Formats: sequence, C-alpha cells, structure tokens
Amino acid sequence: MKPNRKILLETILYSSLGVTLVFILLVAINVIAGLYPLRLDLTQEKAYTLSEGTKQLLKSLDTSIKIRFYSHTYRNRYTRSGFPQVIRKTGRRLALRI
Amino acid sequence: MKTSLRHIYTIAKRELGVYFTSPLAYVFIVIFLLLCSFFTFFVSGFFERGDASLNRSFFDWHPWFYLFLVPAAGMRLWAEERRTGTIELLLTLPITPWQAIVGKFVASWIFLGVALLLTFPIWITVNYLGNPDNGVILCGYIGSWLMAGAYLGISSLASALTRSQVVSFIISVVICLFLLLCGFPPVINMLERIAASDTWRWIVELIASFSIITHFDGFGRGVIDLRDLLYFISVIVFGLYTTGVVIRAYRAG
Repeated sequence: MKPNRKILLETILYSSLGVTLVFILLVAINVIAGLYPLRLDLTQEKAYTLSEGTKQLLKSLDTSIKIRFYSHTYRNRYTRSGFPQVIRKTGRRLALRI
Repeated sequence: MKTSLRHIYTIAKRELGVYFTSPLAYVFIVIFLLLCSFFTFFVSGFFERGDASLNRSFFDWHPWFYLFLVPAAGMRLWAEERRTGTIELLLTLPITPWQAIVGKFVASWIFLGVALLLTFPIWITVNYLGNPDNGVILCGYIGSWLMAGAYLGISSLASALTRSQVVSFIISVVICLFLLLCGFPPVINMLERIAASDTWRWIVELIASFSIITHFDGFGRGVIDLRDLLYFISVIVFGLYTTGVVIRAYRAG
C-alpha cells in the first residue's frame, strides 16, 4: 500500500490543485506572521523603535491620542486629500500596537 | 540530506562556472554597474542632495533595474537546457529534479549577489563624503539581494515554461512588472480614488501587500521586518515549487 500512497501524494502535489494549495498555504503563513510583528531595527539611533520612556508614557495615558499632521498638499504627489498613505498606515499600526 | 546538499553544490558550482566562462556575466555586471552609477549620480543628483544616505538615491532604483536585469540573467536557466536538449541528460543524472532546480537557482542568486557587491564604490563614496548610517546601508543591501532572489524565482518559473529565451524573458518581465506596479504609489493612489469608501479599502491594502515595492520599502529605511523577509522567501519558494511542477510535467510527456 505504501508506495501507492506516495505516488498519489505526488500526483496531487504536482497538479494545479497542489499549486493552489501551496499558494494558499504561503498566503496563510504570511497572514499569520503579520499578526505577530517582529522587527530588527538596524538604524544607529533606533529611529523606528519606541523607547522605554515613551512606552511608559503611553501606558499611563487613559484617553485616545490625536495626531495632528500638517502637510503641503499640492507639492506632495503621494498625497490624497492631504494625508499620505504611509502616515495613515503607520497610524493604524500604532493603534494596533498600543 | 548530506548527499543532496553535495549534489546541489555540484550543480551550483557548474552553473556559476558557466556564467563566468561566457561573456554574459561580464556584460551583465558592466550594464548593472553603469546603470547604478548613472541613476545614483546623475538622475537622483546624489551630490546635490546634501544627504549622506543611499536610500533614496541608490536603493529606490533597484526594483526597476532588476525588472529587466534579473529576467535577463535567469532566462537561460531552463530554456537553454530545453533548447539544446541537455535537459534529458540532466534529468537522467542520479539527482532529483529538486536538486537541479535549487542548484541552478543558488548559482544565479550568488551571481546577482556578486554584481550587487561590486557596487561598493558607491558605498565608499558616501562614507568618504559624509557620515552615513551604515546599518541602514547594510539593511538595504540585504533587502536588495532578497528582492533579486524573488525576481529570480519568477524568472526560473518562466524559463521552465518555454524553450525560447526571449519568450521566457518577456513572461518574467510581465509577472515582475505586475508585482511591482501593484505597490507603486501612483497606482495605489489611483486605486484608492476608485475604491474610496472604507468598506473597500482593505482590498486596496490586500493588493498592495502582494507587491515587491511595499515590502522592499522597510529595508530601505533600515528595518528588517519578519513579514517582509517572509514575503520574499515565499515568492522564492513558490517560484521554485512551480518550476518543479513544470519540469515534472515536461518529463512526463
């Protein structure tokens, strides 16, 4: 029985069904990894990591924080309605982390 | 395990040798270095920026260089074997197709790494003129090499699909262009204008998350994110896996 089963597994793995399954599996791994943010900050001054002091300060706050962002609309071509996509994304990520 | 590693090593060594005995490698490296220098120093205005970093002036161009250069380096991987008929010889050797696929991929990846490392004069220039953050530059190089690997995985698949190198080149450029454009800021902004409501925004973000540009961005800033790392590895794994499927279908008839 055993060799037969192995051949069956191989035929499934090497068919279009197998390709779809592997694709879904890889997407799932990426999605799951996205839930656990893990990053290595290689900048000299740790520009993309919150310092301990900041974390303490943010923990002691009990209201939600408003971030006011000023930008020059017509000079920034990546801007839609004066609010760049990068900032909007960062804001959402911060809201998730804190 | 040990024997399969030895087989991969043998194939990779042979393939790397082929690169450097033909003029292809030297032409490729010269064109890559010329493009890098020209775009960094003239188009981006490296000297006029007054900014000691390689992020905007150097690494931002890499996704676009690789779009044409990596398919050119990877198009011969399998198409050449199929055209000359040596693929039958290769597949009847006492190695599994996997070892051949991984060996060929590793050889091309190392070759691209060598081309990338030869851009070191730009790194020396920026260190001589200013005081850049070398951690960020190292991170940019790691990201750039991983991105080259992702392109190469796609090129390997396109190369296995056909016996004509030109067709394989065009297929991989089209796939890579698609992966590039779905994260390109002007395209994303256009999509956001179409799907302006909050209910559809997640679709725009889903499309952007499939892009090479979105994932390379973090490396350019000096942050190695697990998600970005995993994305590039996934593209490589998927490319090589589908190459295996195509090779097997070819062998079966």
